[in-house]
Amino acid sequence: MIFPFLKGFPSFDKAPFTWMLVIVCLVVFLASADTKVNGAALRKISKSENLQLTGSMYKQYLQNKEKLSLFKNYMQIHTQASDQTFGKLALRDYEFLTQVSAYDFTADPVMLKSWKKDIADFMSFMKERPITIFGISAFSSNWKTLITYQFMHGGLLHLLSNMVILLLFGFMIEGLIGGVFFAALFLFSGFVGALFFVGMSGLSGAPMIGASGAISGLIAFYTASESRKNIRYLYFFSPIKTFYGFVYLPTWLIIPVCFAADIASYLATPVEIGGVAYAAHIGGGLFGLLAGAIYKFSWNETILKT
Amino acid sequence: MVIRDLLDLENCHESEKKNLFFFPSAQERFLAVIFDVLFFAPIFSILFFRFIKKLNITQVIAPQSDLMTWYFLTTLFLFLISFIFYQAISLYLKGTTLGKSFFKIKVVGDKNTELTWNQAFLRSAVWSLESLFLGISFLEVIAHDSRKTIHDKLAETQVITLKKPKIFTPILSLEKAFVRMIYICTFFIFSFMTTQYFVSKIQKSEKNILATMKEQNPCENEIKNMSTESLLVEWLFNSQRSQCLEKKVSLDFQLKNPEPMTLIAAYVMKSYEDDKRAEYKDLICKTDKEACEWADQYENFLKTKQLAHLEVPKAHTYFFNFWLAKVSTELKNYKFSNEILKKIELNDAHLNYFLELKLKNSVGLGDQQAVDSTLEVLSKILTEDEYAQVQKWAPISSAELRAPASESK
Repeated sequence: MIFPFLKGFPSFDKAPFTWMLVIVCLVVFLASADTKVNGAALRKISKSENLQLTGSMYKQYLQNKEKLSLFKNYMQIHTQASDQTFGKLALRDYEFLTQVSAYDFTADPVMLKSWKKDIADFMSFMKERPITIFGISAFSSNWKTLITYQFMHGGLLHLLSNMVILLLFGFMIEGLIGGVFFAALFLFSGFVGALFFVGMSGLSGAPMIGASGAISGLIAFYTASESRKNIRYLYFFSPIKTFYGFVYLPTWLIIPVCFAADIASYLATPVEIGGVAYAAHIGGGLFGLLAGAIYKFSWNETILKT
Repeated sequence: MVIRDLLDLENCHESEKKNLFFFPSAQERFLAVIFDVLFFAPIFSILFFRFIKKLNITQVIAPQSDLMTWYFLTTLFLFLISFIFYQAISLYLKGTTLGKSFFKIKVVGDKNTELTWNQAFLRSAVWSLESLFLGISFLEVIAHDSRKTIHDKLAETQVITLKKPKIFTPILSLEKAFVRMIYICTFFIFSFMTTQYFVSKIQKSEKNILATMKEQNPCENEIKNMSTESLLVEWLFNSQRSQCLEKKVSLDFQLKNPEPMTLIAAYVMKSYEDDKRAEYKDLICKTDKEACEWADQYENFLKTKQLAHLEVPKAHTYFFNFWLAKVSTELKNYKFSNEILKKIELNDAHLNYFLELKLKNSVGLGDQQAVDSTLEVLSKILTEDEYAQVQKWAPISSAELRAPASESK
């Protein structure tokens, strides 16, 4: 593992806007837990026998669709695990979920009737979930979600990883451009990332949430504006003494390490199975690069004039 | 002259110091490799994204399959080949790679010369092979005074640092010997095991693996060769085989008008869920009047746990009689079950099943007469070994019943 560690974590007084963003994300995470929404529908549809049934119905649906080409080599695999996996994929396919009630499936009529009811309950549950209301998904196509999604997170690890990087880079950028511009950069990077996600990946049943698009913008901004500097990277391969530590390397290394990896992952991971919104990272990163280049150019012009 | 530590430096003549070069630490060499892989991996992924897409899909849908192993091994092979060329070209053109350049590491010929293409390519190729076997060869860096690995020795190259010299602590000979021993043993054991595994897996092509996966569908033989009625009887006989019955019923339901036996099978399998059972019964009654009457009696049996006089439908008599015999045996109504069993010709496995069920119940009740009568029948049809197994838990009152009456089958 290697990532840019820069000057480490700041205190509140040195990066107040960064810390405020972190606190907002944390509060939103705690407030948007699913405890208030009845998760029985999700639990029921997620049981292995129901997932298997969903998977076999999804295979029938895919047989008649162009999407078959992505999974055609796997349609003949009729094992429990395979059907369950297709069931999980089906629950992300909004188009499939909306067509379930009217689609002419051939199956056990009693099980089919019960399953269709379970799917309808699942759809109702999804529409009530906070991450669906405020995240970007086909369940709630509202332009405000292009901003609100940045403050939602799917789990503690998701939140922690984003906040660590936000603190490391936010500290540096807030020092460069001030708190207000930093906050604006964060929001606009996230907004552009969301636009890229919707344009490149499309809306699905699985909501897109997280501050990664905005954080990619911050990282790209810093890389563009301080490209010639050497920054501190933390590396950790094992707890043995010589295999962890810090090393000073050029800032521009972030581009191949982070952004090239995002482009590669976007190309190599179909949207239907992907769990990370690489398109949002790419969009946010491009915006950040542009903003960083403009900042650097205008900064240099100002220096030249003075 | 190669300098190992500053102690030697002090003994060198000034004129010799121009030709001196110094070694980077093992840690720096390792980090340089990691950075090279980190830079190259995204570029490789972009170049081969179509193939890696297949790998990612297979990882989700069929993670434990041979297909996954094939894709993984092929990806690894492609990566190693491309990495060989990346390293070779970088070393030939600049004498260093991107990762090495950050740590001011350079690769030169043994006499401090620029690398030729052959040297660069050979070094990279052998490096890739060594990396395939966990990269244990890097232990050689600290095991030998020359700090040369196998790929350096074969290509006649040396890895040097362009930084100012640091003081190296001389390594004790015992430590070197120990490290060499670990390296040699681990390298050969792991190489042998890995080579065998790789050769066996990589021989299969993608098409063959897909064809094999199609054939390996569970219950394919049962679904092809057995009717729903036979599978349902087997399910009653041994409910652990329900997977094939469920599969068969599921396939039968994909026909627009499934057979009544399919509905009966679904009805019986879901008998523990009241709401679903009622819906299946409605469907049965819409298609088959006799089966509907049987289902009414079945409902009564579930409520009262008593067998009233049950009419067996004219179709699918084997299943209905089997079910009746099983239920009456479980209710210990052996007279009734015997009457039923006389009507149908059971195969050996099913006959033994009923007899042993009856025997177990009789033993539990302490009905020695029933035990003896059942043992007498069993002694004629079981083999010596099978009869001996039964004798372990069934109390035998008569010496005559100790030996099986039939010869071994």
